[in-house]
Amino acid sequence: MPASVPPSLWKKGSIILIHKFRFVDLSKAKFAVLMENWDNERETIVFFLITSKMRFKDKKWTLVIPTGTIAGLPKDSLIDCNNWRELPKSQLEKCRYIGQLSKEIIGKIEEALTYAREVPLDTIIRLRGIQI
Amino acid sequence: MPVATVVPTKLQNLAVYIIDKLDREIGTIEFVKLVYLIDIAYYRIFGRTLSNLKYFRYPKGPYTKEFANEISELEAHEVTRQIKPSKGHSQFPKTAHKRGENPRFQPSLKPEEQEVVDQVLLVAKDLEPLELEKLAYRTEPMQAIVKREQEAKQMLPPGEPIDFSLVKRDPYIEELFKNRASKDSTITKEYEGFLQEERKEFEKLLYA
Repeated sequence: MPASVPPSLWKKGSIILIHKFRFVDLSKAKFAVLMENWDNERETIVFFLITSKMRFKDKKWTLVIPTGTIAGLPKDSLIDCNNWRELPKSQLEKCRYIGQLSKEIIGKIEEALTYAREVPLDTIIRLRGIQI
Repeated sequence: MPVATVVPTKLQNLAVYIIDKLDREIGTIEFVKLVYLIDIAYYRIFGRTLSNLKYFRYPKGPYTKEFANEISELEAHEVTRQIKPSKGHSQFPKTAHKRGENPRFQPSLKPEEQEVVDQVLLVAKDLEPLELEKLAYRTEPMQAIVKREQEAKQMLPPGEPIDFSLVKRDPYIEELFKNRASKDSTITKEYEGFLQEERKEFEKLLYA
């Protein structure tokens, strides 16, 4: 984890900037939203990629992040719940923390996730957690 | 000598998976309770049990004799069983199960089944038998039985069926299943192409 970022900030709803991991070409960086807390026991973390392709803004599995919600996030930012990834935490150590989404927006992401066909059931159960 | 092929039942697959994960001995009553808790968590999501077992109320909580019958078919292969004195939880000796050394099959569970089992084991695998029993009593079907017993002011006779339809389903997952079945989540060719392109770009980004 980057030394400048306290562990408590890496949690569900954190917006991160994924650089080209060799830090060569920042123009190819990508934003994403973490869907799990860093402190869980797993070695990987699930996140959804953020896109600027607004032509998909009306899909039920996408969510537009209102402009000004997070400083540093471009104006047209769309969270796409189908566009998910699971990556080793060691890879995420190379990312930059941008900000934290509110609980209200996280709730909307979860609602949108119920429409995402591309996310396998085991990942949904993982993100949701079980109840005995 | 060639080992005979077996087609394990869902419960047998599940039991072998649990034993592999536990990496320790486990008594029958404790084992049934672990499977019961997995079935509760699974039912909450899918509306059915994973093991296909039918449970009954016994003095120490949910139990079924069917479990021992099915596990006995794994003996000397996937599971070894040994009679041992009880550690004090019961007056009877216990049957300790552990991993067998001559397996005929590797447990096979679907990813979503595995996820549920892993999460339950994370919570329950290291619990003492009494704590496991308490957890089982906190589930809706056992709570309903306790309520009936309180009203009757006596314990129900052993063998009373445990009603899984009382388990509260996860409304989020119900919504997910409903949405996946509807046209609202149908993926168009245009979107599918975009998604593939995005993933390709992302791979390049990561491993350049």
